[in-house]
Amino acid sequence: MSAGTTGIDPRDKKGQVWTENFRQALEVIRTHRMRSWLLIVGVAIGVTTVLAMVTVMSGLGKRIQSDIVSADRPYLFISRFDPMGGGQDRRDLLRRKQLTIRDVKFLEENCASCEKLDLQIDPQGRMRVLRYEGERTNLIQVVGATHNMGHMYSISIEYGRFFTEFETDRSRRVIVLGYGPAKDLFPNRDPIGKWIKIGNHRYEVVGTMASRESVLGSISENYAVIPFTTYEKDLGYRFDDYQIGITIKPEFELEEGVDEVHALMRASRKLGPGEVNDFYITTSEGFKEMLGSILTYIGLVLVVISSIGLMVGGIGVMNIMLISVTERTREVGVRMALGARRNDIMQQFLIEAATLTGAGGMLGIFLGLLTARGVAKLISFPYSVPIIWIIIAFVFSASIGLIFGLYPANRAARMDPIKALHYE
Amino acid sequence: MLIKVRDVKKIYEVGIQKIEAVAGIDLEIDRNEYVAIMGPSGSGKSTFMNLLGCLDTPSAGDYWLNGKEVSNLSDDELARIRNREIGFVFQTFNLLPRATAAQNVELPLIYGGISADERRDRAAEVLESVGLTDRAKHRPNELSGGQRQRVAIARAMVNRPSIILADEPTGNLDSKTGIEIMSLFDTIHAAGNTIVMVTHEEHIADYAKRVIRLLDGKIEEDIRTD
Repeated sequence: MSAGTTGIDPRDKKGQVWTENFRQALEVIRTHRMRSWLLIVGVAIGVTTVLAMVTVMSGLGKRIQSDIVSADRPYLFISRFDPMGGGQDRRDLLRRKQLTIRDVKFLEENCASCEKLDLQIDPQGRMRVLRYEGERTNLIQVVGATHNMGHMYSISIEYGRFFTEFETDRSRRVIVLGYGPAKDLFPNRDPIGKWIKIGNHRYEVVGTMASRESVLGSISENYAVIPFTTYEKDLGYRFDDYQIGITIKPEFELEEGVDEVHALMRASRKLGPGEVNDFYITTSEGFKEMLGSILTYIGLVLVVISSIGLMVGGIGVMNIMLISVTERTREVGVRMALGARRNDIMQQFLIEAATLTGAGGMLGIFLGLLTARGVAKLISFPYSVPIIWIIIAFVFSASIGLIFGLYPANRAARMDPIKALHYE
Repeated sequence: MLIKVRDVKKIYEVGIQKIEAVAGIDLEIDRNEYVAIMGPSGSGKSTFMNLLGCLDTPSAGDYWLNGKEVSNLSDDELARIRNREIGFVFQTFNLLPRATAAQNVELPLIYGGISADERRDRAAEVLESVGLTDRAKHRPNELSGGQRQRVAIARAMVNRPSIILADEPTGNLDSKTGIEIMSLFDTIHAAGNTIVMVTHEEHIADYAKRVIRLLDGKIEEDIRTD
């Protein structure tokens, strides 16, 4: 029975070594319970942070989108230039002709797909204080618009009404207050029919808006609307920016509307065939997409920041693995003497590291989802579990073990079997 | 010829000094021989043993093991030779502390790519041959020194190697247990195995059928006693 070989090439059945290495990893975790648990918890905290962040961000993102693009119906939005566009010379863009009520009238008369149109004057960040008797608001935005604005952005009126076409045409001094200023000026009083002051002019309150319960909080509620004609008369300023909002009739596709409005706007602004547009059309859908991509970037930055915690966990892994390798020098020597190749040893320690961080990852996923759920409940926004992020979290944490385990594992694999066997 | 060594040298460089731990050894060992290698410390017997065990490669000279030239193999190839051709028995047993006796015995088979079922059968078989069937599930710290060395011997034999290399196999055992282990080696030898053993104890070397004495890295004496 002395003779010979087993007749099986070790390279044929790598699975045997892999299974042994994995079994070994679990065994090590079991025997070094304290050390392993501390490490697993460390990685878990990192993963928890990242995952909670991602989950909250994605839920928050959906909420912010629905709050900002607060229209039940898709709409078009015409401005002089792309509000988010970079690259072009801004002074050039500012020299473009303002959008006017003539453009709106032209579209109203000719546009088959347009349902309602609104001309809006954006005060470009200039703020005003509203006063009523002793009360005053903080600095808020006063926006000029047509009677169609309320319809356009699905604004819900709490008391009174929106102003009418008649009032717009006659430049009447009427005002619709956002929830914020209405609350500030008329605590426990009926605001309808009262006259408030902006500067030296007096405006009759015809309506107030309902609270939007938005995550953006008071920003989206701290404004007031007056007819644009009144605005031009009282508050006009040469840097004001005019914008046109349009809803499309339900029987038309949004794209059809965009095409028609585009053609009509060129006609209205008397652009020759070769001339570039001196206006820019956004859709609420496009706006949503853009918001989505901004939120994605913000989310990405947050993830990068919070993954620093994971890196710390990684360094912990490296430390523990270095200790483990040194402690088991003799074991490495024995395994080599019994026929383990350097790669087998390398694999053994990599699997051990990845098992540790992978376990941390799983614990972290559990805690992360729990945290996100808690946060979601607390500030009431839709809680969504991004499956892909769970997979990413697990793969990523296991990879951290592989990456940070590489150096210790390599150290073990490079050992001289003779020295390792006689290591004390 | 199972082992053929021709003018093998192992030279270590320590600083600018060169130390010839093995200074030119010629040796042939046949199948089913039982050889003891003796010598004082510093005689190069450990280094020579490492060369025979393919844990190290010679600086010069040739080494054929089981008809294969092994003096110039890569690390991976050496690992494969160790796995298939050589069974190690160490003075300090070198069992893995966290593994049971059976798991320790299975280890060479794992690196040999043997399936779990076959591993279990073969481990049980060799454990039985060293009389430890009832200790298969015990960990090393639950075994006596003699039992540990038996597990180590079972592990050395499980891959049916060409040679069993034993390095001071009784060095950590009391004399009574030492005798038990040596009689186990006798049985193994009688079954047809080839044993090469390093020892510095004459009464242990007496079990062997051939004694090779080394001095200053060279063979001083090579006596057959059977």
